[in-house]
Amino acid sequence: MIAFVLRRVLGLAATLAAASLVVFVVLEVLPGDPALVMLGTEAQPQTLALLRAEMGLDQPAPQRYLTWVAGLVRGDLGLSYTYRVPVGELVVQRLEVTLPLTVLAISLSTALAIPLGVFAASRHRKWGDSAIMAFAQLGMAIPNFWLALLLVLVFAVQLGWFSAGGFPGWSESPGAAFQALVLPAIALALPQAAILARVTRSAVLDMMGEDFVRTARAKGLSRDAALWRHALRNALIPVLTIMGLQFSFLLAGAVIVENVFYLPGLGRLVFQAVSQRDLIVVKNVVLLLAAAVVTVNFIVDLLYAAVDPRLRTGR
Amino acid sequence: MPLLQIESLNVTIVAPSGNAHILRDVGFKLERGSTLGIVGESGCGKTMTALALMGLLPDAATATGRIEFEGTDLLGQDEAAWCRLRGNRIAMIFQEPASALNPLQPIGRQVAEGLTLHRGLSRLSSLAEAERLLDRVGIPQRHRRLDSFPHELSGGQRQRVLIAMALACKPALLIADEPTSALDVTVQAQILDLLRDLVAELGMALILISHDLGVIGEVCERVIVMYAGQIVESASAAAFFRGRAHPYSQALFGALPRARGGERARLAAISGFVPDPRELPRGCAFRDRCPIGTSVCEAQRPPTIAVAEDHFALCHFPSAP
Repeated sequence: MIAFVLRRVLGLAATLAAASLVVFVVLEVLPGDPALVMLGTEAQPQTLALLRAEMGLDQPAPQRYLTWVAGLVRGDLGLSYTYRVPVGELVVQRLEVTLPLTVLAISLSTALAIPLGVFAASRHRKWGDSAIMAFAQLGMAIPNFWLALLLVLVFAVQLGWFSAGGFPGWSESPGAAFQALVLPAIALALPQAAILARVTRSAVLDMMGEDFVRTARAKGLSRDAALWRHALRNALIPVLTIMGLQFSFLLAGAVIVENVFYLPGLGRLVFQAVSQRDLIVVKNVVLLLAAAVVTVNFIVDLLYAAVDPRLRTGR
Repeated sequence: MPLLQIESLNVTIVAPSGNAHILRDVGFKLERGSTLGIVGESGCGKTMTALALMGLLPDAATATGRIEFEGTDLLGQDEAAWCRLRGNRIAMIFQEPASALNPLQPIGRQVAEGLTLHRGLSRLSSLAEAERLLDRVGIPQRHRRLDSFPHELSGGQRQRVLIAMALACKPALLIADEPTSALDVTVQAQILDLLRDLVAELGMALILISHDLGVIGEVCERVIVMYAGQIVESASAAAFFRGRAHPYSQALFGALPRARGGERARLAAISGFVPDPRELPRGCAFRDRCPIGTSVCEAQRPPTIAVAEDHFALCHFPSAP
């Protein structure tokens, strides 16, 4: 088990190093002057020179890369050009919104999808199954920004149960802050839940056809008992895989949904930084998102091992 | 009253491409504590007969006829009654020990599960009983044996675990579907010995399904040969190995490799194919592959003929044994 974890940690570090290199090369090495990109073609030569010095563009690329990575390790992400505050501070502020939002969305999606998927599998080819799968089909077809607008129209504008957007901050009123995340979380979660429910259903049905389920039934377990006690845990492996993949989609979705709801989250930060050409922010946040995805994959790997004893031996 | 009596069992799988007649007019009986071998090539209906006895036929299959076990007709009973019966009065072991165990669950819990289900034993006492069963089937004693996972065992050991699981509630009937086909030859012999000992020890009846006449001959008192969903010959094992009445049984016997007298005779393969169960011929299903088939065989269904006392063949022209 220790060897297994160690190998995964090494893999994680290698992936992050590669990601940082790609981000750096794309944003700073490929032809085009980053300072010119940030300031626009009509910038004053003095301003341009100042920014170039600030960004260290006068130094050779390998040295700039090492300086950046060293800064990352120390937690120093540099200064945002547009906000004039340390990027680290900016990111921590934004994470206060995005992290709870993603956790809420993924919890919601899982809590909804797995029971529905299992239920559909246990009612295979009966109307309960068909009804859930019809809803799942619908959920998959709806893009999350459209769902977000629909939710705002119904629950904020018509019913007035939630605010239509904005974020009051956790320190002001935790309750209101939580409430502000509910609709965005639903908008993010539903399309993912639809996919996850389908995956859960088909994974459970696959397992129900396995020999060991037949053995369980031959022992006298009913179909449902065999499903819960034997098929479900075996079906978790593909379900975990999809959940790990969905995390990336969730982050991508957060960029859009945070914009619809005017939430000051990481996604909105990236969006604004890109449109304002604040490359320092873009570079760091993109790497941070990559790190998040890689870390989630690492956690998924650990969960595989927790579910399946065959993976624990490290072979 | 026999333990098990099957009368005109028919199983049909309904499909858009045509109804497949998987079992046709199958009937036999089995006394308490006796052993029966069912032999035939893949797809002849051996496994389907077993699954019908367990009430585990595929959803698309419908069974008609009568399966009387310990005085009740199983085909008429509801699912809850089947659940009380399976693993309790009738148990089954399967062909592939590699995939027949849940890979994510320790073997102790898997063996104990039937005991908690049918005997109402507590977790601890069912595990203690599982320990005793694992001893009996010869899983070597070692540290944390109950906590072993299937992937930590060899194929033969997994089959022993499955046997322990099947015997947990001391069933009156054990069905073993190709229990040794996936194992090495040396392990095969050990597993067959174990099965034979346990059947005698517990006074169980055994239905042993195999494509291997050698395996059947070693364990069973009576032999049934199946072909295309029908029983084509049934006899005591002694009579059967003395002489076969049905041309198909003779061909099966001819395909059996024997190491005898140093002569290297070619194995006789049976030419042709088994008919599609959706398009069975009007007359005898073996007609196209039969060395002695005539126009009568093509036109008329063969009758069941008693060639000797307690020795039957489904054939127009059975050989005298």
